[in-house]
Amino acid sequence: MNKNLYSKLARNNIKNNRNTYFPYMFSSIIAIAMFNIMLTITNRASKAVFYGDSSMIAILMFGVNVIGLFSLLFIFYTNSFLLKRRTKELGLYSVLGMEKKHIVKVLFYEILYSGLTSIGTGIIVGLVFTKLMFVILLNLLFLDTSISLGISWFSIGVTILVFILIYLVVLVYNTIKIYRLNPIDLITGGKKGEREPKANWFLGLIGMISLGIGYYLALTINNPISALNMFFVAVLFVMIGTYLLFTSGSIIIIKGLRRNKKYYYQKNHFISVSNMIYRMKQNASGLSNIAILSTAVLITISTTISLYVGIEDVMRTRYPRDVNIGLEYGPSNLEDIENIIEEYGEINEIEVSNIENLSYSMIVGTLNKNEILGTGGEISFSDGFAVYLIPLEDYNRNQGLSLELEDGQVLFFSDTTRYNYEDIIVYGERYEIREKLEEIDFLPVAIFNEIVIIVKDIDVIENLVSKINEIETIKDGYSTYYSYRFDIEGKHEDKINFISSLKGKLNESVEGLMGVEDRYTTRQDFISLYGSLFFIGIFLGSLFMIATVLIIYYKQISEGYDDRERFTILQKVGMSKEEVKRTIKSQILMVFFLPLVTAIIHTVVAFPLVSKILAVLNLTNTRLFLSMTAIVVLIFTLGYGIVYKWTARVYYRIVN
Amino acid sequence: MELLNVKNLKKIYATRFGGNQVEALSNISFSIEEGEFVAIMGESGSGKTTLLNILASLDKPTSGEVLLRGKSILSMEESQLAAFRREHLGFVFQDFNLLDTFSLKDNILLPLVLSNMDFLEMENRLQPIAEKLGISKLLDKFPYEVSGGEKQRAAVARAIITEPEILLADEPTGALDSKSSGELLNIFTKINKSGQTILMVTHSAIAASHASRVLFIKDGEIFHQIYKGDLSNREMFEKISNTLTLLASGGKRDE
Repeated sequence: MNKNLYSKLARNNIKNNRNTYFPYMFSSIIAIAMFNIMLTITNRASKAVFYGDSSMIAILMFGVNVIGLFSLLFIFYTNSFLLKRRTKELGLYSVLGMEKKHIVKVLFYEILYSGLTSIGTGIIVGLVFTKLMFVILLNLLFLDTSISLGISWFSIGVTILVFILIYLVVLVYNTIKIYRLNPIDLITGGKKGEREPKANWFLGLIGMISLGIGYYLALTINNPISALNMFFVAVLFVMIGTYLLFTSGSIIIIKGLRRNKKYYYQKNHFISVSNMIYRMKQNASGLSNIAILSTAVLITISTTISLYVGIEDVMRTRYPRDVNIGLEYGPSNLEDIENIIEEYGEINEIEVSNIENLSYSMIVGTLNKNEILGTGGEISFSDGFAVYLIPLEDYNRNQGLSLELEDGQVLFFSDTTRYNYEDIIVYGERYEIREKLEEIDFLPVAIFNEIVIIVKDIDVIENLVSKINEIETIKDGYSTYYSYRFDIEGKHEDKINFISSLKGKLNESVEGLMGVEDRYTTRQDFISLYGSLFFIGIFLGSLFMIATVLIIYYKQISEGYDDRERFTILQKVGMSKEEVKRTIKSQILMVFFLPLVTAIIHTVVAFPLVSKILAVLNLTNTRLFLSMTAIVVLIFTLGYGIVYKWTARVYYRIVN
Repeated sequence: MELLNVKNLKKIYATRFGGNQVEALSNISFSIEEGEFVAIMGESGSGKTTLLNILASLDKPTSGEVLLRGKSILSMEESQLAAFRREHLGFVFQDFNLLDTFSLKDNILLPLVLSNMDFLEMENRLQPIAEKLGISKLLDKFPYEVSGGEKQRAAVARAIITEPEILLADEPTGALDSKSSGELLNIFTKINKSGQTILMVTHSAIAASHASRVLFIKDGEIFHQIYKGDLSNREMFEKISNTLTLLASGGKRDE
C-alpha cells in the first residue's frame, strides 16, 4: 500500500477526532513547556551563585522530576482513553482490509504528528515563558532580576529526549493493545453488554479502614517531628482508602439504596440509582484520581503560599530577636559581651534595643502523669518533651514582673498537654506548682512539645542538672546555658557590617561561645528556600489542575456518548425532555462534585497534621495557614465549577 | 367504538436550507376500532415509520389531525406529551430499547415508576403480565443476559403494564429469528384477544398475517386494505403476499 496513505489517514484521524485530540495535545504542550521551563531555570540557577542556592536547586530539581514523571502518567492516561474511544473506528479499518500492522502504522503516524507538534510547540511556548517565569522566581526570592537567561540548548535537548521516550512508551502500549484485539472486538468496541459491578464488601471494608487509619493519624498526631514522619504514611493510607471507597464503597452504598424498595421505586431515585451503579463502575478510578489530585493541589498551594507569605512570622519564631548569642553558663563574663556589643554598635551606627538575657537549661524527658522521667539515654522524638528550666530572676526581668517563689515552688507552662496536677516531679525532685502560666513568648519554638519550669534561682537548676547527669548517660551531659539577644536599629548595610564584625570579635574573644545567629544574614536563606517552594508549589499546582480539568473533560465526553442512547430510550418510554435532563444533571453533578467534596474533606482533616509540619518549618501562625487554605479552597472550588460548566456544555451537545 | 382516528395526515421533510422537500406522507386517513389488531405494511421509505412516530406523538405532521377517543393529540403541550405517552400509549420497538442498566423487572416497571405508582401495586400488576408473557423466571436478569425474543417480550410487558389504550409496535419482529417471531406474534394475538388494541408497523407478511386488518402504504398514501375476517393465518398470508406482489408491480390503487 502507498506510504502516503497512512500518514494521510493519520492526519485525517487527528482532524476528525479533534474533540478529544486537541485537548490532549494542548495539555501535552503545557506539560512539555513546563518541563522545559523548569529545566532551563534549574540549569541556569545551578550555574549562578545566589544565597541559599543549594536548597533552592534541590527543590527545583525535585520539581523537574515530578513534572517529568507526571507527564508520563498523564500522557499515558489520555492516550489510553483516546484509544478506547476509537476501537470502533479502528475496527472499521480492519474490516476494510487493513492488517494489524497497517493499523499500527496509522497509529504510529498519529503519534508522530501529534507528538512532534506537541514537542515543537511546547518548546516554543516554553522559550517564550521561561524568561517570565524566571523573573517571577527571582522576584519571589528578592533577587536581582537582571540576571540573564539565554536559550539553554541542553534543556531543549533533554526535553526533546524525555518526551520522545514518553511517546515511544505510548506507541509500544498502543501496538500491544492493537495486536491483542480481534476485529470483532474492535468493531463492537464499547457496545458489549456491560456486566453489573459486584459489590465487593472486602475491598470496601479495607478502604474504610485505610481511610480511617489515615484520618486517625492526621488528627491525633501532636508531635511535629512524628507529624513529618507520619505525613507520608497518612497520605498513602488516605490514597488507598479514597481509591477503594470510590470503587467499591460507592457501589456498596448504591446497591444498598437499590435494595430498599420503598426508596428505589420512586420517580426521582429509580433512574439515578441504577445509572449511578454503572457510572461509578466506569468512573470510580478516574474520580478518585481527581479527588487525590485536587487534594494535592489544595494542600501544596496552601502550604507553600503560607510559608512564603509567613516568612516574617517564620523569622520571628526562629529568631525571637534580631541577634541571638548563645553561651555556656559560667566561664565568660556578661559584661565583656555587653561592652563588645556597645563598642561595635557605635562604630557601625547601630542602636541596640530590647535586650533579653536569660540563663536556662534544657533537658529532654518523657512525661508520665505528673512526673518527668528520663529517656534512658535514647531520645525519642515522638514522645519527648523539651523541659526548660529557667530561674525566676531572669523570668521576672524579661517580663517586667516581680514574682516571688518559696523553696520548692515553681511556675509551670506547657504548650500542648493539658496539665491537671498541682505539682511536678522532675527526676524524683518534687516541686509545688505555684502558678500555671498562660504564655511564654521568649523561647524559640522547639520541635518537641515544650514544658517550661521556672524555679527559684540558678542554684536549683545547677543542682538539678548535676543530679540528672548522674542518672542519664547522655554524651557530654546536660548543662546550663546563657542566651543573650537583642534587636538592632539602623541602615541595612550597617546592620550587616555590625553583625559580621560582632561575630568575628565574639568568636575570638569570648570563651564558651555556642553561636551567634541573626535574622538578617539568614533571611535570604529562608526566602530562597520558601520562595522556591512556593514557585514549585504554584507550578505543580497548576500542572495538577490542568490534569484534573482534562480528566473531567474526557469523563464528560465519554459519559455523553454513553448517555445519548439512554436519553432517547427514556424519552420513548414516556419521560419528558425536561425530566430526562433533570435526572441526568443530578447524576452528573453527583459524579463531578463527589471528588471535590472528598478533596475538601481530606484537606480539612489534613489541616492539623500539616500545620504541625509547618511548625517544624517554623511557621506557627495557624491563622495565616487557615485563611490561606480557605482562600485556596474557595478559588479552587470556583475554578472547578467553571470547568464543570464548560465541560457540561460539551456533554449536552453530545447528548442532544 | 372508534378509538383512533387519523385524518388527512401530511408530512413534508425539508432539508436544512429549505432546498429539497421530501414528502413522506401525502394524505393518510384511517381509523381504528377498539380491540382491533391492525398491521400497516409497506416497503422501506413508504412512510410507515413517519406515520408511527406521529401517532406516538414523537413527531408532528405538516397538516392533518390525529384523534384518540375524539381528542386531538397534536394540540397538546410538549410538557403534557410525556405523561400522555406514558398513560395512553404503549410502545414496542424493533431494537427493544431496554435500558441495560436495569434488570428486566425494573425495565418493565419503569413507566409505572415514572407515574409515581405505589410499589405494592406495581408488583401486583407485574406478576400476571410476566406470567402471560412467560418471563416470570427472567425478571431479575439483565438485558444482556437474555435472548432477543426474551428481550422483546420484556419490552411488550413494559408497553402493556400501563394498560394503554393502544399498543404501537414498530417492526417488533425485525430483529428476531423466526421461532421467536412466531412466539411474539402469538403473544400479540393473545393480548389482543384479551382486549388490547394493537397497531403494528411491519414489512413482514408473516407478522401482518396475525392482524385482523392490514393497511398497505405506498408513497405516503394508504394504497389498499384487507380484512382477515375468518381466514386462517396461512390464507391471510397468501392474500397479503398477493397484494404485495401487486404493489411491487406498480398496480393501481383500488379500494
